Amino acid sequence: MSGFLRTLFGSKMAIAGLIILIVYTFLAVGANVITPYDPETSIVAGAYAPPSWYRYLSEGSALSQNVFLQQSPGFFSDPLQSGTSWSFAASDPRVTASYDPSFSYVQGGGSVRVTLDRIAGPGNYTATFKTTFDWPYPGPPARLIASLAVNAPAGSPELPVSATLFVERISGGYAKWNLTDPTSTIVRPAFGSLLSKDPLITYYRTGTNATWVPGEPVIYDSNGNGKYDTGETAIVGSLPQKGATLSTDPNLKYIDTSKSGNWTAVDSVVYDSNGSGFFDAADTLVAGQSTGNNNLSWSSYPFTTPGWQSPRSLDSNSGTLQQVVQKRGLNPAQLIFGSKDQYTFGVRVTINSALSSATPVNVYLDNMNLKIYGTSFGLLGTDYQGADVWSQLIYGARISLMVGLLSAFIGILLGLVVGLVAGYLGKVVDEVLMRFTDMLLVIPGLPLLIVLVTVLGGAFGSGRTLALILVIGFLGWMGFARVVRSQVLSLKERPFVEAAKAAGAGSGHITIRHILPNIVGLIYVNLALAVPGAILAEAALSFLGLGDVSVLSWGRMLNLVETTGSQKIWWWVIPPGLSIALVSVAFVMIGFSLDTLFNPRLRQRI
Amino acid sequence: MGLRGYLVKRSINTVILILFVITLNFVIFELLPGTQGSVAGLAENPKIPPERKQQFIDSELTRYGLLCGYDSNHNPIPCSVWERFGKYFWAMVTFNFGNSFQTGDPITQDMIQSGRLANTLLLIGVSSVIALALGIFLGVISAKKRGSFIDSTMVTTSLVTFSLPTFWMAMVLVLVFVFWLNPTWPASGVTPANWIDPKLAPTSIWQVIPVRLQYLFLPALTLTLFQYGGHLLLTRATMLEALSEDYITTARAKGLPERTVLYKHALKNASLPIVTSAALNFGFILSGAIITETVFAWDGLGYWLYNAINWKDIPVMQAMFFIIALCVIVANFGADVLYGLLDPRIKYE
Repeated sequence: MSGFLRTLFGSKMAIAGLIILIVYTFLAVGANVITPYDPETSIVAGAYAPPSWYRYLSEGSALSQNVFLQQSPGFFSDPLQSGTSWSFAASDPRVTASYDPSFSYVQGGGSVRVTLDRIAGPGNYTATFKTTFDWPYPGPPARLIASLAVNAPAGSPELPVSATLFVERISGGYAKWNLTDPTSTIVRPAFGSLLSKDPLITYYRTGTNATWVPGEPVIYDSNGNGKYDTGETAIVGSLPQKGATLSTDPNLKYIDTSKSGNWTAVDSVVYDSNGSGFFDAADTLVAGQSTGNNNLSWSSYPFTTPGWQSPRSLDSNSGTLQQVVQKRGLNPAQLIFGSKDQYTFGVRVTINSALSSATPVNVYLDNMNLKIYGTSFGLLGTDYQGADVWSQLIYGARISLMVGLLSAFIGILLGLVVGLVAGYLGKVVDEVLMRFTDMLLVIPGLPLLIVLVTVLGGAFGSGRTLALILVIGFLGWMGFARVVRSQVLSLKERPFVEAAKAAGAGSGHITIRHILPNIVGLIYVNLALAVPGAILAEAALSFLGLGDVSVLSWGRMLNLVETTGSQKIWWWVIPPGLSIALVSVAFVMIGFSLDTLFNPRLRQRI
Repeated sequence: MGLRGYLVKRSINTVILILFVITLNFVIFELLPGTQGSVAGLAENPKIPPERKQQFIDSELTRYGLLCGYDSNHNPIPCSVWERFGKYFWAMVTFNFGNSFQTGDPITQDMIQSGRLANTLLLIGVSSVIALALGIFLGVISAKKRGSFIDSTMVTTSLVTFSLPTFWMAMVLVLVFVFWLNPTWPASGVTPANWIDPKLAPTSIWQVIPVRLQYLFLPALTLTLFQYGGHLLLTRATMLEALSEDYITTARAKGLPERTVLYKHALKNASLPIVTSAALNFGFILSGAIITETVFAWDGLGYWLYNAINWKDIPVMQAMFFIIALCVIVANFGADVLYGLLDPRIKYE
């Protein structure tokens, strides 16, 4: 046996094959440990995010990565003490904030308490509780999800309380984008205010009397005093050619570019996100002209019930905000994060107190977090939902390898039995079995598989993988049966079989003790050579949509690529097919090496 | 046994095989659950008055060949398996495949008049011819330069294209040719979608041909890559065998140019297994065509079968399986006959 292994490892081909197989087996078995994400349901980044390493190429220099401002599951220490990034500010000294270590939405945590002292009488008060963070990437993220849990007294006509989550850019001069109720008024610059230098922001046209004319292009600060005042003009830029120098004037309005540099929509601006000064592939398209509000809805505020409200998520991919902004070909997350800068994330609490009272109003804030999903992720990027392709690949290895091995095993076992029986019994049995084998060999494999899986798949219901294994296995024995039969026919005439017969051994004994050991090598070789066929068959069936939709295999990954129209997402297309090919080639290489090992004739030739 | 006996035996085998396929096709679809109740479901249509419900069910069951008359108490008699098999068998033999669930049209009409059969034949024909020519040409070069770098490169490349999943190869070709090189290149379909309107379709053949070739290019390339590796390896093997024969040494000794030796002497003798294997591989090519047509939405038999899977269009699946199997069986028979006719040395068992 050790000699056998030494010879096997002496072959470069076998070693290469074994290494590939060991790597894939390791990935398949350890999938749960290697990746924390579920291959289909965990959303890890924006949809269609290229791999992280793509950022180091010039094409991907504007891509961003995930930034999670995670205070979840709650405030376990005082965020208001010095040394933390959180800060509190109020419009009136009667509104104060403190940390309550024992009252929390999350078990065992604490929360931030905003208190209004109502003794002095009615009034409207605002307070902000916020933190600052860096957005270190030149390009915008793909998606943001902010959440907050609030506990406030029930809203009443005398005491409406509302809370608004917001994300703002700190640098002065930039317009701020709030995540507030969509019914609130449109954010417009006040007359005389600084005009934004941020190319993300477009304003309505101003006439000579500084009234807004809706639906018109950007304001150009034509008198150059940096302020929005009378005499500004509105300008629409001309279409830049690919590679043309981009104007540094942020107020010039260009038209949308997609990755390929083709014009697609009519009302967005090209943002020179990689700072190259040219309109090229990595530029991000940003806001078009503002036609309405750009806010998220959060309908549970003002509060109508007392106690902790379950935390609400503001998701830039859903809700009113998305519908409004999507018309401009943009996600709100892209509007907010235009470029590398410092940002604040916080909550603005508004309390309108209509009466004097000795009882203060307490509003508790907890479970505040902000997840910003980047436009690049991990080793192999993400799919159409934003799930991790790498996780899909290694979980897919499980199904593909399992189906391949088990089907090949079934096929080889059946082929062995049929071949032994036909070869040893001969005569009528042989004739019938071999005619049947020939007939099945002629019938085209894939159509038969398709028909059988369609018919049996319904009967197996959720256990469709099992149906695949059985069908592929039960249609994969014919070739091997012929090989075994011919071997048995030649072995049957050897002297040692005759000797066994003379010693009075029965046919069962001879078959198992004398013939079988002589074809063991053949079994190994054909097993190794049958696996690729089974893996390919499974992949083809899953690709055609006949596989198990509850688990991922490499074939189903490619099926998803096809059905979601993602053919151009190379990081999703290439890995599964390449893996199928690599594993198949590995098995073939091992099969060939085993063949040269067991077949002395071949060994001499090499 | 002479040639005639050989042909007779092959013919008998072919007929038995066709009967086997017809039976298998019946047995497989007999296993399909869920026919019970679907007609009763149809009868729930509110437009059918309650008193006519039973009559409707019975007429539908009769139409589907599930009901064979009534007994003396006017109870319906379900058809026995044998009666159904008899009807089915006759229908298959006369190419009467029933109507498609998707369109309600006869299947033969959906297959032939719609141009699907022609599309598949075009795709398979073009790619097979190119693959055969390419495979033989490269195989000869490979055999001539045996052991060289060119030889090992060609053998490795053909092994790789041979073992790659076809649909993935197609997807990578789309990625490279359409998304990376030329975004205006058509990635799916047989003709531009707006040609369905006769006013928009060009009438001049010189306008039609370039566009059709453009659409044909990627699917045909996929199928060519899928096939040529097999031809190359087989040509190389048979050529190597032929080149070691004595008559090649003789030809070389005579001072014949190497070209003549290779193509006139060696290839001519080596070509027989190549030609017959091309015919024998017809089933393999059809499997590749099903997958390729699916990726490129090439409206041929394979794409039709794929759509039938999604629609649970059982009559189409049944007919397609029978037709594909029939084609393969006939191709096999053709290969056998060809072999018998072309090679006088063949020993008939």
